[in-house]
Amino acid sequence: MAMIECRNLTKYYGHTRALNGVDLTIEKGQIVGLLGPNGSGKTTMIKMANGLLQPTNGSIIIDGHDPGVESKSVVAYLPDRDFLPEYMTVDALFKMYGDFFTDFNREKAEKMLASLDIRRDVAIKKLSKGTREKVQLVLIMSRDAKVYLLDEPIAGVDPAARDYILKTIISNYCEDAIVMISTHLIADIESILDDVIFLKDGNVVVHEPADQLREERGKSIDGLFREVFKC
Amino acid sequence: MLGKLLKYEFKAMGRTLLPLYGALLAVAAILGLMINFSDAMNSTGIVGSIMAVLIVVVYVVLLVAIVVMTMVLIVQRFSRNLLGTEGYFMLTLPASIDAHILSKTISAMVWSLFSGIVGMVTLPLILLTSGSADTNVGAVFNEIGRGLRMVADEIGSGNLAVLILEVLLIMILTGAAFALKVYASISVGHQVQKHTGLLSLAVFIGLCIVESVAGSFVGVKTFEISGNNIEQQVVDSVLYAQQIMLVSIVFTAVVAAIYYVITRLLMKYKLNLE
Repeated sequence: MAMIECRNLTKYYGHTRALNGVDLTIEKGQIVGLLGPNGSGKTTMIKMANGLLQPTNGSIIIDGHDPGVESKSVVAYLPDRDFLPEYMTVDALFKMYGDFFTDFNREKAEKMLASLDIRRDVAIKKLSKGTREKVQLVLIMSRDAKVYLLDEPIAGVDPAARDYILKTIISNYCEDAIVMISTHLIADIESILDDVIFLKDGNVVVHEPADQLREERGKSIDGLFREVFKC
Repeated sequence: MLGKLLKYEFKAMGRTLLPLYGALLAVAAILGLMINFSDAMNSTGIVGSIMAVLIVVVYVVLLVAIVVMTMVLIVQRFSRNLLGTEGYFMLTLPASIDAHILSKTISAMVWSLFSGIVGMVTLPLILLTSGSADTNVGAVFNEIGRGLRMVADEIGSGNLAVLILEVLLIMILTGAAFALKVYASISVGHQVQKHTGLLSLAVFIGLCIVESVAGSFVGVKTFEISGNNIEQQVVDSVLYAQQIMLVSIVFTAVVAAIYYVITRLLMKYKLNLE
């Protein structure tokens, strides 16, 4: 059974079409790149997987469930924005995550935090944007989830931190899980991708294993992206 | 999950309200002390008078601030925490929408009660620190006790207990209905892209009006139905009062339930987080 399945997934914002009847199946145990330019529907799809948006038509199914309590307990979501109470310290956030998510591994989180040299007793609103994003990533990747949905996890971070984040992602997900990374920074992440999805104007235009794609088209995913999405 | 949500709800509202409570109680104590030493105060002339006025002003401002902040927090804990930025965290928790609504309703009711109690406690506190405590506070409690005993003699202590319970129940239900009305209004406002706040406010006012009209209608009907036996009412005022109480309880409960359903349906099936 596919871990993530979209069936005729459609979303209109008023008259604007964000997703156009997307059919997609993603098996477990992969790192998937959800790639596309701004406005292609990536965030819309991810928000629907989390039950934060309702489809206009069609459905999205996570681990056999419609987005709801069961799916939310196995999905770890990193939004592309600040989403935590900003007055809370990192310590308080760890405690809160541990309270709400049974699969949160506090030791793992503290180790990651220590290696990033981030203080635990500071309110996150006092941290720089990049540091805040690292904290958010630590929280999400310390969960032992079945599905990780990372929306632009490296966009606001310096190149050195990007490497660390990508390393963290591949070394922390368990074999059966899906890690879906939505981004437009292809060159940085293409080396870790197993599966590639190109989303253009709400349609899936490419969905293939990364290696196969590189071989077929004779170029890097980044190069292919620039070709497909030429302005 | 409801328990955990409640824990964080309480903490979130307490963060703002507890310091305000502390400030109010401190100012009330100081006010009492100033009354206590009013002779000494008078002798310091203008400075003393200005200080006295200032303290009273601060007291009133804090009192108003607590009332206002309690209501503002009830609104914010729903509009910001669920439908704002923090919604990206809260609504991805493995919690049902019922758990979310209930935790916020309960927290709203409890903190409203605390705010009311703290406000009321300031009066005896002022009396206490003003040195007129022993006579005045004691006297007040005596009077209250006497009044209750008189009523108990009149109608029977069992009936009095029931009456008190019914009043408490109405207060609880009214608190719940108010919070749920706020949430329903915000949920409706969330359905539009622009002017969400305005729409929420309009819906809230509209619901207040409809509730008023419906309440009057129910009240009139109740009076009509039981009003035929005026003599009986005079004779058996307890029964009459209990009928009115019962109708009020049922009415408020139904109203609260309607607001709950509106909120739940919109949040579950019409959620579109920006």
